[in-house]
Amino acid sequence: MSDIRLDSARSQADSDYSLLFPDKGLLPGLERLRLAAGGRIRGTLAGKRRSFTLGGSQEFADYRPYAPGDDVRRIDWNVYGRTGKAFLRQYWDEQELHVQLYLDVSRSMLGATRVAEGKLLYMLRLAACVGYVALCGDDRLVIRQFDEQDVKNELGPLRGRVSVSKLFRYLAEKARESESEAGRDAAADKVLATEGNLSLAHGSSSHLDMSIPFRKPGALPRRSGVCWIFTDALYESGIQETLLSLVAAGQSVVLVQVFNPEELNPELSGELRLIDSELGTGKEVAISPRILARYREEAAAYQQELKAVCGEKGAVFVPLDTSIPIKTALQRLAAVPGAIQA
Amino acid sequence: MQFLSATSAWFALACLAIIGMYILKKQYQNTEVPSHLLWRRVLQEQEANSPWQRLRSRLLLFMQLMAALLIVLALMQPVLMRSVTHSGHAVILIDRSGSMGAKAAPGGTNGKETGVQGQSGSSDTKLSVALSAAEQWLDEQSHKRQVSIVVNGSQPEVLASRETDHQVLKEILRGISPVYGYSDNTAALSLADSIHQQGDDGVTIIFTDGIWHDFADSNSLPLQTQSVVSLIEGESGNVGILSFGMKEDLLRPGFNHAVVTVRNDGTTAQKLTVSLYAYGKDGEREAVAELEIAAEAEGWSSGEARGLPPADYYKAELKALDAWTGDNFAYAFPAVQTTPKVLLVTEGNLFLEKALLLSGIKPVKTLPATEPPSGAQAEEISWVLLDGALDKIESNAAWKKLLEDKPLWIIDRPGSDGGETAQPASMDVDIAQHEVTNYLSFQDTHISRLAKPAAEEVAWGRAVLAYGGVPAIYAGNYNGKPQLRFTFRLQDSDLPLRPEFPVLIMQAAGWMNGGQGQLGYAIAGQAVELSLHPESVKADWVAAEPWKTGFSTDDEALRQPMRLMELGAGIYEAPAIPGLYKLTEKDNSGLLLQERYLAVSASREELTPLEDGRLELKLAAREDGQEAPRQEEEPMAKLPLTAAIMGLLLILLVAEWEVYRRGHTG
Repeated sequence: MSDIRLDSARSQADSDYSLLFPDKGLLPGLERLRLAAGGRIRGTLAGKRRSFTLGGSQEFADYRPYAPGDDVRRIDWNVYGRTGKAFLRQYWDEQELHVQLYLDVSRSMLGATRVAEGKLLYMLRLAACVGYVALCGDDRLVIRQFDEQDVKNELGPLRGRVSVSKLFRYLAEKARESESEAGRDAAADKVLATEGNLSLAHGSSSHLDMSIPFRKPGALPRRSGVCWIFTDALYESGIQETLLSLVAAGQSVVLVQVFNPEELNPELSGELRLIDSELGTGKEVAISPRILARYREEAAAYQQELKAVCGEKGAVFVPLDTSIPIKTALQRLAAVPGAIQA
Repeated sequence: MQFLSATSAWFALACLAIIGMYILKKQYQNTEVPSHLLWRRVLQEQEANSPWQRLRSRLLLFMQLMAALLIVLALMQPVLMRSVTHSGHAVILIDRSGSMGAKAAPGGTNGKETGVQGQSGSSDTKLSVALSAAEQWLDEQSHKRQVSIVVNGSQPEVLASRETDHQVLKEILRGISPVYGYSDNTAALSLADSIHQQGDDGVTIIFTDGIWHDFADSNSLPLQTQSVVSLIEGESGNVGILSFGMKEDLLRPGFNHAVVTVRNDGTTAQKLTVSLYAYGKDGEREAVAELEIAAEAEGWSSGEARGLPPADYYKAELKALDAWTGDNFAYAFPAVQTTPKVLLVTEGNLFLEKALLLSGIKPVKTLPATEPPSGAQAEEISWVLLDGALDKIESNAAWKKLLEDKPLWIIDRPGSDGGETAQPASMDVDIAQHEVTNYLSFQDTHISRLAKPAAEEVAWGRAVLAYGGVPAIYAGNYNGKPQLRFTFRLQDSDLPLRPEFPVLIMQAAGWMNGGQGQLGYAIAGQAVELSLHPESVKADWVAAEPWKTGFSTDDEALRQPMRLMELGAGIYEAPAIPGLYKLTEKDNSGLLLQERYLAVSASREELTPLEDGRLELKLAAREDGQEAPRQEEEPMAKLPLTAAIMGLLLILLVAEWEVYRRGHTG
């Protein structure tokens, strides 16, 4: 009985794994990587990250003259033998790193439309890699999802390689759930579109603000650490505010923009009612080459804008195209200072 | 193109409705995009002028508008006007008489009659305007229609018969140049009419300037087929030399007196300048007089010039830029001929002397016993007449040399000088065709005795007259000079008593003179009677001063010698283009025998304007008694274009469907 359960659990784990890592040889390579920590870390448990306080790790930091009350076990007797004076050996404290992964699961990331297709899955795969790197590095990992309204579905904290399967299951479940959700939404959209009252189908706001979910209580990490945000960054406002509040919460932020190549270079033609996947509002456009050219200009300008905002806030900005293989994407992340270290 | 229902153009307003529908079109394809974030930035401008934005680069809209316009066009019932009244045989009659060589009035043809607008500049001749009008008419005809081309002239000609290839017809038309001589228009009209077959729905199209001297005959011609006359307007106010005559100046013997008559067809009096030129032996030209003649409007007047020096010929040239240059010059030959001096070696022959004097010859009498003249005296002598005494003279070296140099006429004395003689067996006269024996019959003439010179003595010539089977007159050339021999003594014959005697002597003297003297005057293309040199095998007309006709074919023809065309015995055709021509005759070896001038002028009839002004060519009643309309306006047939438009529309609809199917709507 228990064998059968075990088997089913294993096959579940296998399917999670194959969903998240289509490239089988990726995982061993990840073990050699570490997440970059913004500075010295103050954790709760001992870990592999050097803290900014001195402590009991194996790593030597300095000598200090003995003062009454000090632990005599720390006196360096070799030095005492040579000099006749008592010095204490001091060691760096090593603490664990708090890693927060924020996954954008707003509608625009879902695969409901041709354009958004694969964005979420890509993001989940990236997150699996980054999470795996974190767990291998004995970091404390927390994963949260956020949409237009809320931060939800928190997983963690996870520590150590034992939690890898938990992490994978969590991400794989999200992937499967979004697939079914996308199918349902597409059917619903069709009905709505024929009825012609598309607006306000999904949200009540006509304006998307990224900072709304992050303003919710408990949305921000309590301890300082590294915070990765995976998003398509298609928000009218709030990006700057979100970054600011995360930095204020002691996070060194990495903003990964996941986008579809078609978002930068759309291949549309004809007279279209463009429906915003998040707001549900429509926009009537007669597509012409001139408009498409202007769109491309605007998209490039928007990315530059994002980069500038991140730079201003001390955050790392990495734009990633879903057409890039995950392996290449990781190399790119490793090349950016402040994201992943080899 | 014309529209039968122009009011249907109002349906074009439907296009506005189509455009309006496109502006108001509400149906858009729903396409979900992740966010409007970027689109909003892009579309800010576009949304400002949204209605017009929708009309940009809309292939479908344009095709629909096109389709709507085509439908409206079809509703308006467009038609092409074509003259397709007669599909039957058409005969084009081109009047190429000399008057057609004149300049056309600006504006060319009288467009109403054929629907053809002549596009002539003022430099075009009436004929070229007529030809281009004919080509235009040809262009309007279908390629199946049979077309014949008839031209007038001294004999009317059919240049093309039932031809359907327009290119061939145009080539033929382009090759037509004016005929300056007499042109038989009635015959041409009759020929054109006779080409039609009974009931072939034919039409005769006449391109003419209306100057038709024989219009009275033409009008009385019963025509079977309908005729259309296309009148080519000419430039008015031509001036020309009507006549240029010469007579002997009574005040100065040996000099000439010229009379020039000019004609002014214009409506205003003009002062005309006529220059007279004399042409010497080598064709050198010398201006000898200039006449100012005041010519009244539509009248004639004359001027005179006296004391013109002797010359080969004279030319009168009218300095005027008028409609036709062909009558601005005229040639005349001197009335005074220089009298040739002849050395008459005789012991006395009164009849002969008198006859020579009558022939306009000045005989210088000398006895055979005396020394021959020498030096300047010998130079003056044109030829020598030796009356007997040949043997006496031949022993004298000075005489021999003179006889070698000069043409020689020998009159034998049979019996007295010891040569062989013959008695004529009968009175039969055998006359060979020769200049000396022209017009003579020698009937009833009696000759008692004739000499019979050895064959080598007369090898230079041939017997042109045999009396009773015995050669009586030998004629020929010796060393390129004419030579003549009478084998009988004039005293042995009753010939000097006959009326033919002076004629014989004159012709013989003319022959001895070398046939010098000009050919005179002729109308272009006319048959002229000429007597050629007996030795001549090649005779050509050479234009002495080519006149610029304005037709390249004519100019080309004038540049090289023209072959003399023999029409009948002794009758030849004069050159076809007015001007002065030199008739050069050459013998077998190419030696120039003689050169004579012929002044050719255009037909007088073409030069004089018709007295009643413009000719009204009224074609006579047909056989069925119906009056044939003179100038019937050709009804235009309407060729509807609706079918073509509908075809276009269908193609457009197919294209529209393709566009729609492939989704290239934007």
